Amino acid sequence: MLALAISGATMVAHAQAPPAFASTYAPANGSFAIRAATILTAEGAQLDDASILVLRGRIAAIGRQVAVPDGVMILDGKGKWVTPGIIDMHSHLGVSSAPASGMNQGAHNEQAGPNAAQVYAEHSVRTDDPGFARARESGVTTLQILPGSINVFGGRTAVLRNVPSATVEGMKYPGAPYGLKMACGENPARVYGARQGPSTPMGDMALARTAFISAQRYRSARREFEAASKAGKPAAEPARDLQLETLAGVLDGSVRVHIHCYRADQMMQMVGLSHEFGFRITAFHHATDAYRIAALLAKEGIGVASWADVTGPSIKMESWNGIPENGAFVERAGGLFAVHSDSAALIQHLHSKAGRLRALSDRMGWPVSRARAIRWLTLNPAILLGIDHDTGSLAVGKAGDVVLWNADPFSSYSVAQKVFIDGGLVFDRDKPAQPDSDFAVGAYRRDQ
Amino acid sequence: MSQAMRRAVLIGAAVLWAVGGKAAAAPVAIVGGSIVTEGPAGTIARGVVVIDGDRIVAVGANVKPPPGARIIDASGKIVTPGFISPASNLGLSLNDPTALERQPGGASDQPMADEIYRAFNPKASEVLEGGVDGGTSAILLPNVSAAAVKSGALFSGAAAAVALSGAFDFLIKPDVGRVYSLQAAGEAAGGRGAALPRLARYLAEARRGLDAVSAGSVSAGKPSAIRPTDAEVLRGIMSGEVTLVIEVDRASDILNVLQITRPYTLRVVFLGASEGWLVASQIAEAKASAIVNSDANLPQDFDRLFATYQNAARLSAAGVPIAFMGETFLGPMPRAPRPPRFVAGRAVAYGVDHATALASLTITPARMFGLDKELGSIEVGKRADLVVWSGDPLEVTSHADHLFVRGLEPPASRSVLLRDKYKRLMDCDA
Repeated sequence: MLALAISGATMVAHAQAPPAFASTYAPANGSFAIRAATILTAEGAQLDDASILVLRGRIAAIGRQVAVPDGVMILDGKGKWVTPGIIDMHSHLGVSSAPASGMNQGAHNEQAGPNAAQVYAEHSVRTDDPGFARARESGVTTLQILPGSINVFGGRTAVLRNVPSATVEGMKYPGAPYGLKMACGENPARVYGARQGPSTPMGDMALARTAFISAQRYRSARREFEAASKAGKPAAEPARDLQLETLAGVLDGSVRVHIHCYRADQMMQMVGLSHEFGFRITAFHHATDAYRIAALLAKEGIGVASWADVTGPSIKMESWNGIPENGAFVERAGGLFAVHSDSAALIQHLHSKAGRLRALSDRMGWPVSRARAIRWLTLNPAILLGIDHDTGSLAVGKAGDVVLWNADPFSSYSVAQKVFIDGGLVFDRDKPAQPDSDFAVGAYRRDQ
Repeated sequence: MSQAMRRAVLIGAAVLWAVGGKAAAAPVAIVGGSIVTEGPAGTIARGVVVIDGDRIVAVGANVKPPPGARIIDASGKIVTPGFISPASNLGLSLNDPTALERQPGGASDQPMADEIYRAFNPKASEVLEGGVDGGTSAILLPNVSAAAVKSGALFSGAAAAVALSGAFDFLIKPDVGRVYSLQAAGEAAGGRGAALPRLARYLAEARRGLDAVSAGSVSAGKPSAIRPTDAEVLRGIMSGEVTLVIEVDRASDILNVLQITRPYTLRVVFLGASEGWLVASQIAEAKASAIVNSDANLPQDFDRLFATYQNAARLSAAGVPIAFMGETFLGPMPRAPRPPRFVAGRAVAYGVDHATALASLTITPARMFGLDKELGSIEVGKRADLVVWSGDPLEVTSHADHLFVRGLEPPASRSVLLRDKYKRLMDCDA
């Protein structure tokens, strides 16, 4: 304990400044219990006729026999279902927000150049986006907001708690690692082909490799300086470079790599890039070809975040091979699959989308239990975002991020009845007055 | 267009596209399923449907399969009419940036004479994907550009009804509707204040012109805002035989349009109508209907500030016939390739009656486009467009076990073939 305190103090002494844009998120730390529900914990088997107790924001007990302290609100879960809060690891809420007017729409794609590793998505987030509230009403308690995909390096992602807040810092998930959004394929070439380039996949790759070579040099220089100053030797501090700082973070493993990529061949080339520079790819996003290389991705430990049931070609040539069963192949191969939305509309029914994927897998002769499939929405994205120690499943000690559904969540017809974040009730379908976006005030009242 | 002319066009088109169609060898009897007819017979708990050639020849509880018929056991399953996508862009070279339809600078000299079915490629791989969600036919809706409106064409080219069979004889009807886009009209005219009166004048002139023609006294002297080539198109619209699809979201715009169209016997279908629930009774009173995006509950622009998941349910409760936009990767769109099967299911979660939602995929869109004598229900004499479902068609857990388009089962779609190929590979590895 003492050693910890000393090393902490040393770190503070070394730090140049307090961390910029630090989270000011204040957990609700509420208490409640749900009795006699069907519970999908995302950890083990489905629990029937079971209870869950959350005390001061943390899960205190789950099981058939749970003693509830006096004064704690008890909800009847008979005929209802309980799951962890949904985590969407691919959203543009806030950075591409409603209404599509002014800077609301294009705020996710920085067009200064194909390497935008210096930008942080959080600095484009408009917390008044009514989409946050709509997602909350559908059980989404945590989301990763990503920059768009026009850049080879799109910038840093933001992992947010889906709570009403006037500031983005008030939503930032405390301690969640940053991600870096990268993109291969048609988007960068489409945007930059007519400008400074790159205009081809090979140009994209050359840009990425060149940038990582610079990041290696930057990291060495920083390390030499830190070693020298630790040893008390005089040394000139290398100039801070936000772009290289992010890429050096990737090389250090402190920044997670999320790559927008559709095609199997291009995904495997990004794997080659990661091998060349010794970093790990956390997940491929969209990845409509993942089923063609599912075993290879599982072997590399790379997750897949995609839609649950894409049918047939549309929008893009690079998604030509998309099949609805994509995620079922990833699951079958032992990989980590997460159902993502990439859309303010789809984020509101991720649960039924996951239900569709589960049905498609069953039909192929690859049955997936509800207890397992719930991970596509909860534990798997939590693992990929590096927050699974805190959320993503219902386990004693974890955050009280809980959704009470009116029916089996893997259905067309189910809706979230109550949604909790850190034990605090953030949505209640039984009570019309809800914390909503201030944009809704006066101009827009949905229950009118 | 006169009745005789219309028949001539239909027959001509049928002859033109007859190449490649093939008749089913033997009759097919679907036996034992719960048959949701969407017709006067209602739902038949354990019934039989018999298909012969491209038609339904018998349906009922006590129908005997004809000798030699192929029998499909539908016990415990649900049989519905094939689903109709009411606002589709399927088969229109969606993935092909080099397609003729995508070429910049292209501008039709007579936009209202455009025929979208000419652009439909029945062999495009996505056409058969529609069947995965029970789709057997689609209404192809043209886009409307401000440039086209500026050139004098207030309405789009012909919307067409097509079968999703993958065969060359896909054409059901070449001209079922015309689109009026307030967005395009407003851009062309300089806002609502100019565009909407122009619509009113255009309709009035069309009425006068058509009346004069039928009275044999074509007025001379005064130049008409309507080109002679558009007169036939307008005859169909003004008689209510060709549907006028009005693409609009804001409630006050809907009221404006209803006021302008009131004097005429048009068949009006609103496309979008995100704020429709605010004026639901007025829409119902005008006997108009609506194709809505039931997933649109966000104020995506200032014409949709009152968008809500309750829109479809409230419109329906007021008596407005409703159908839904199809789906894309990123949610429903006014023209989308995927049949709105799950969109309709979600609408039920938010208050739409289950039977209404099922009708929104079948008989309702057939009525919206004047196709209900041919499509949309399981009745003797209608096209044999049918789906045998493993369970509730609106549930994500159900699948289309059998699908017939004009009495034939289309080949497996490309995504199914890819799935099976890679499943074999993975099962070999395991």
